[in-house]
Amino acid sequence: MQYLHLVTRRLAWLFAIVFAFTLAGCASTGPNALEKVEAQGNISPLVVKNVLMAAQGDVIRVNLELFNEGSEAVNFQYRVRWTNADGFQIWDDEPWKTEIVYGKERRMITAIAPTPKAADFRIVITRQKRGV
Amino acid sequence: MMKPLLKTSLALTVASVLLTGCATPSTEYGDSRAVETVTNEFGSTDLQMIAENMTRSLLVHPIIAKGDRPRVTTSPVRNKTSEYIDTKSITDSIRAQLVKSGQVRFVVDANEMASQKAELERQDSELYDKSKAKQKGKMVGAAFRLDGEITSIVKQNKDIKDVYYKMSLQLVNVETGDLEWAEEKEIRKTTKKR
Repeated sequence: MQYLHLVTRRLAWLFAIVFAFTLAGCASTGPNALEKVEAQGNISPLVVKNVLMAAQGDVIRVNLELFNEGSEAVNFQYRVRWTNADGFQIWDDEPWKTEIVYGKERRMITAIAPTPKAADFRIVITRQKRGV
Repeated sequence: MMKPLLKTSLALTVASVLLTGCATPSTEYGDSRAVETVTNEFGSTDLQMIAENMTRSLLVHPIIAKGDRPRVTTSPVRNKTSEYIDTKSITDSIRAQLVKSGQVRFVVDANEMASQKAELERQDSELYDKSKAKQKGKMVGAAFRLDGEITSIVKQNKDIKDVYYKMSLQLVNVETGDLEWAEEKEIRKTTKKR
């Protein structure tokens, strides 16, 4: 009986460790992830709802969720700055991408790292016209 | 005798015409990554968006993601739009980004073969130390080929011109002919009269 109790406790620990590793392999999110969004100027009525990062093969994949609190369509531009684990930018500035979010729409933006060397990122968003 | 006010107005008019005629255009460097909407024809932003989109999609495909750096060559991208587009520039950008990623190796394509052959023949001449010159018969063929086309649909009325572009790219297994990967990028540009 005592032996059974010991085995059960050890199994429980094993499951807990495996579960923790499983969670670590999943997308990371939370309040710290929102710090990875850099708004240049006022982006209202757009609101950043969530930022997710997950590994896809050797590269990282990023999902940005935006919500337009206004009732009119809003144009914005964004790009991603990829860095290594030490914060050094390891890829050229990406081209600015233009997107539209309609009134009360929740929009997902996906970005894939250009190289396996990218370990971190910053998403830069602006409503300022960046163009010719 | 001209009234003073009339004289002054005439003088100012002549002066402004002369100054406008002397105005020189100014040139400055711009942001090469900025969004360009000068016209609704195919432009730099379209090229950059397509190259980035295609590259990132290919990088996560198992063929590339497994990490054995397959050898790829490029075939000319067919331009099926009604305007001139330098499609080689699109494939050059894709190729540069994939090579920089470190995940793919590119081999010389058909366009570059003449230069490659000329260089090997040059090194095969008696001027070169045979032990240090590169040998013929050592080139490695590509396992995959990048191939695609760009099309457009133009619709226009008296107030609006809408242009829709679609770039399609695929990765073909050279040996088996299998289509291993395919991706499309759509772009819409609309010009409205104010």
